Amino acid sequence: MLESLYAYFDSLPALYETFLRTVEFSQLGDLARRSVWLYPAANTLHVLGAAFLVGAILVYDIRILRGREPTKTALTLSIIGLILLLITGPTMFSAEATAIGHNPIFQLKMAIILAALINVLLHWIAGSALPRLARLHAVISGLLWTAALIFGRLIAYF
Amino acid sequence: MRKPVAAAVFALGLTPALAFAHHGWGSYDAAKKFTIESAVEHVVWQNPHVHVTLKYQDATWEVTLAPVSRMTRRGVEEAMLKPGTVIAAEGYPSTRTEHEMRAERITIAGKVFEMR
Repeated sequence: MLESLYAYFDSLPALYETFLRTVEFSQLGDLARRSVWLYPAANTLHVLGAAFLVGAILVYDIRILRGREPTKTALTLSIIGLILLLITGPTMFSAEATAIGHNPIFQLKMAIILAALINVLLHWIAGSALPRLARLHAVISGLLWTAALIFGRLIAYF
Repeated sequence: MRKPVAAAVFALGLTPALAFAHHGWGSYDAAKKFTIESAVEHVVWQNPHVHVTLKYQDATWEVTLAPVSRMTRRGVEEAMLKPGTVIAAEGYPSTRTEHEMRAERITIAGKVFEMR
């Protein structure tokens, strides 16, 4: 039982390498590299998506901190932003997955996004029944999503 | 009154990180500018950056150029970099990857093309 668990963990790095190569040599990766406009377009729309998502989330968080009901507009805008990000992010990633996958700043950004999503999930479960907990979630949310944006921009420089 | 001040302090705190990012090319050592002049071994004409490989001191260097659209705008076409063509690449070594250079400018047949 334990042995097979060890074997599983041992196989993870190789699995990750296979994943990165598969993504890089996919048709999407090929297209992102060959097309003159696809990569710059994805890059631009990724910025727009991040502006929508992080901006809307901060509005949402600030309203919670002030003890008000969050607006629907902020939620809608954040979902539009998220959709843009989920289309454009993997497109850019696929163009050079083996390089980006080993970029420490990219890995940090992904870890931050994972933590931020867990925070969203916990906030959904807890709701606003406990105002102090909701405020804590709002502060964590604002910090994590802002950090994700900063580290996202820094990927290109490391 | 206090909130705008806090926001301003927060924004100021972010400034060094942003300034650093803006002046970019962070993983290349700008203090070690050098030039490679040799025949193109291989060209990879693709986004996000075009690459060529060049021989330098018995090693093959991967030279990172500009995105495809910028190459074209500056007047460099894929055919101008075909293997065997002697070019000069002036740039900086990567601090991360051995034998990788980011080119500031390249010279093809006496003509200089800026890559930044």
